[in-house]
Amino acid sequence: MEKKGAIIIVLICMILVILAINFNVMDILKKTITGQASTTQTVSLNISVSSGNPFVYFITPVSAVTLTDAPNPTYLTINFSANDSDGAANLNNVTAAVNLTKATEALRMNSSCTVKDFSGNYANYSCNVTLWWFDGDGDWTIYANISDLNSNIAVNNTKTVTLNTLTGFVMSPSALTFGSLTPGTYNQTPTNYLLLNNTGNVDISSGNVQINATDLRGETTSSQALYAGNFSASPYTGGNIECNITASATQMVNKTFTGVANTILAAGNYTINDGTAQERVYLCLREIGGELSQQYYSTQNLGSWTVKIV
Amino acid sequence: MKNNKNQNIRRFISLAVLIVFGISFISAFSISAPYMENKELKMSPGEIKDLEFVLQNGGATEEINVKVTILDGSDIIRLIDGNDIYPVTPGEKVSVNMKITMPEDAKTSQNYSVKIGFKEVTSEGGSNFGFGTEIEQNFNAVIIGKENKINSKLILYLAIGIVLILLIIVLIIATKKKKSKK
Repeated sequence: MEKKGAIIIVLICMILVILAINFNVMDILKKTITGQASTTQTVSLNISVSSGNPFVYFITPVSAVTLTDAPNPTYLTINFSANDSDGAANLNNVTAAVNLTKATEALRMNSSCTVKDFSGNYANYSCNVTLWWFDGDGDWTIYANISDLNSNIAVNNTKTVTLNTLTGFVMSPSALTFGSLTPGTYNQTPTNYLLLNNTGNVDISSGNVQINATDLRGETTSSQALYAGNFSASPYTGGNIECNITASATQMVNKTFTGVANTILAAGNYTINDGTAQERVYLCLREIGGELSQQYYSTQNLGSWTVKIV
Repeated sequence: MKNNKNQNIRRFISLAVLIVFGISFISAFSISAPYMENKELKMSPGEIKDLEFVLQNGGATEEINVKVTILDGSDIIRLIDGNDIYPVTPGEKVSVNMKITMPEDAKTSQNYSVKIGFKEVTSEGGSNFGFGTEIEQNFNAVIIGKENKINSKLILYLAIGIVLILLIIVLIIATKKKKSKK
């Protein structure tokens, strides 16, 4: 009996719903209930109409970015779309902007995006963000934002862009010059040093600047040499410390990559030229054998020295 | 007289070594690699991936040649460009394409060390103290279990399904208990 009752109630409800749909009951109710009073009265009303908020509804996906190496910038174009229920004309185009953020990294932004096109309530914007070779690899959050003429702000930060890893360095100067080299002498240092600039976005840690040294063999008598093991390297100088392998200097090893201790090449803007993203490597010829004869010594026999970053 | 001779020899060696060291060198190039968190490339057993490295030579004024060598991991990674020396003109981006293949029998959490050397090719001839530059790119190819690749949505649906089934079982048991009490 209870079951029958329940079934009947359900059936009645279904019939009512079907009827309501077929006869547009809601429309009839809307038209009938107008709020119009049956008698005339004078009423003062304060009506404030709030405009619809703008909405950044789409950011065009951006594929992973290969940064241009130093010293050139990378221009990244980011497009986004916004709408405003009050019409695209209500969007304040001059406020369209894109920011790229990543923890510990400097803000990259474009606050002067251009309108590509607009129609009805919708508008598309194009923004150019300048990136630099030292901007960190990994995911950066894209903040696309715009305000309407009523100063309502819309922000979309749901998308990211990945910057690829960039590893590089520049080595200079144009020449290494030893003032005077005579057989049987010790601790001879060039008058200048190797300057390494980090041209990428990867920090090179201590020991990962490596030098593969080779003996400088005599070009006439190849059994004589300025031996690789007699060279040392160091990021420090003064008081011949670059020659002191019992202190901080690193002794070179023939045909072997040897990390120069304490040499750090952090990523950064080396063009400031204040030591940022720069490292100096001082070389020292610790011993010039007294047995050396008069001839040219070079890497012709055993190959070039190589400076490597890992 | 002997003293004079010694001085001459010393002067010659001094001059020779000065010439040897007085050769110009400015070296610059860079490599861009796909971003890998913690330098780890996660792959499944049997999976094949293409990797693109990009060579640039922005800080220089002349074209250089870069030789690419797989120093470690040649059992899983190989160059697919047909040539291991790449000319790089200043301002250009040159692609170096590689393919990495995980063995079918690779075990979960197993690591494959990959080291790739990018070395500027320098001329070896002539009387000079030649300097070259090299950049080494290292990463680990880490094997992840296939179970890690199950779609997270599928897991959610499975969980909801299990909960619904449990609810139905509980309702059936409760109904039966009610009936048995009656």
